[in-house]
Amino acid sequence: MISMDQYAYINRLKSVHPMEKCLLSGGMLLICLWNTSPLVHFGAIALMTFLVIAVAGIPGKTYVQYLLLPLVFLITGVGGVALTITKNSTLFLYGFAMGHWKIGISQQGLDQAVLVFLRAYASVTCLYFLAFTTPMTDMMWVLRKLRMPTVLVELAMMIYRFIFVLMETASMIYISQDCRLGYSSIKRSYTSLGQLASNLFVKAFCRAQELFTALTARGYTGRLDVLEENYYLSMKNMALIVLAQGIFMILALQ
Amino acid sequence: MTEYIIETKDLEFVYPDGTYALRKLTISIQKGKKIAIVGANGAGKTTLFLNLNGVYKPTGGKVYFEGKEMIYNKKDILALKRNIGIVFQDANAQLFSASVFQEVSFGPMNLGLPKEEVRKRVEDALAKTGIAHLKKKPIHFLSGGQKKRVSIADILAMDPKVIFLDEPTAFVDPKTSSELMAFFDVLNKEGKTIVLSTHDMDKVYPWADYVFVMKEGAVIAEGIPQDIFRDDEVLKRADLEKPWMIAAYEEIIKRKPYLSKEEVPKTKEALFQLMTK
Repeated sequence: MISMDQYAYINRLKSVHPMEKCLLSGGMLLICLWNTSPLVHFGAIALMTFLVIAVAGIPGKTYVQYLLLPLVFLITGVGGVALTITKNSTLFLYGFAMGHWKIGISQQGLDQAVLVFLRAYASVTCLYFLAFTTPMTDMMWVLRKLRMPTVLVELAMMIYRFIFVLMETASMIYISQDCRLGYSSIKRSYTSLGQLASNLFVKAFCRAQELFTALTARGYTGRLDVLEENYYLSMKNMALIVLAQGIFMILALQ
Repeated sequence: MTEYIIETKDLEFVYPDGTYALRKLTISIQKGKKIAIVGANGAGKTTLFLNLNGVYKPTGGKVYFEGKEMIYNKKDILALKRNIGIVFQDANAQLFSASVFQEVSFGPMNLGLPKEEVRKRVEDALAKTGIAHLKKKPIHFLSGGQKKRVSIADILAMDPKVIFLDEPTAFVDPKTSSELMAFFDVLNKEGKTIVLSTHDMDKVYPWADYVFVMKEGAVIAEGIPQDIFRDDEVLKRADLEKPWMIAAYEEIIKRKPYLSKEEVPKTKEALFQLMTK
């Protein structure tokens, strides 16, 4: 399965101005969080799904698989919201008694749960749209333009790059341990995994020093200045985004 | 008159933990030449590069760049870094950015060039290394050979006079490695002094104009490759293998001693020619 990170670089919306995508995603997210109308939430889910699958060209199957990921958290969370524990059972649609206390689902709790569920899912689709269509490197650009502190952006840049180096190193250590029967029994697996984790830390430390040397050789003096690529804002896209968000605001008011 | 771009005299470098990495090392690197530095692991090749580029400050001896003594103050270090670029052995340790374009722009940005100049240099460096089509790809999608090319573009974009290549053919496939060697030739023809360290004697023998042999932080021999690689004593002391071409040549002249007046072959074709004589 190709990961979300890879789709971000190969989807059909990749070359769209990152600020436009952020505006759409962020704007819709705010609208979804502010409003309680299920119509808005369904609308947002439909719009984002349409954009991701039909416009950006992400395979539907992959998208659904990713949508299933937050489901576990949502169901447990929403379950808690729906259930009410009280001594007064008259309001319950369905409930049972436990001693003096009654546990059940009330109309109010159910409404609340549905709202939380829809709102969360609509927000997830808004963020997925951004994650599926915008490469991390473009996001850094947006963060810079939004005047995020340089230290944070540089840190994010390094972390993003070295996640992959670290994963590669970890998988190489794992394979080399596995080749020497490091995972042949549960007890050995524990030992091997412990060694993997501790050595990964040491290796990461060495890597950091090597990187520092290599950067110094190229004139590093404490600032990671790089040249940003030029992007061109499309007025048509901006107008469409504002229009869509306007429509959603009107929907919400009704 | 021969012009030397880098010279060292009794250069010494001791790591903070007391390890002697360079001992009384004296070399002279001719301008515009293809220089090879050979030696076993731990002979001090990388440390030498880092000293000459100004990342490390020598603990003893003298370094001259273009005839001027370097005292390793801020100005000198800046000049060294500007004029001498190092392509590191492990591309993964050199590449820090996730985007190829940003990665290559880092060096020229540090030179304080205007943005348009930086952009031009990045585009040129990417075109030269044959990776212009990878400009928008993230680094972690690239293969080992492609990462190597990015790490070379990193340095080319800074337009140094001397390029140090630390074992450029390690970790890459034979085809890429041959392409890279040919590419270094092109760079050399454009006037760059190329210094590379390697373990691959077969590749370096026909390529280099001049060879330094290092062992335990010192230069134990230097000369043109035809002499160095025929010196069994030196090769044995430095734990190096004889290039197959030299081995074949020596076998031929052993049987036909009258051929020993002929030039030592540097290409396969020259060797085959010699066999028919």
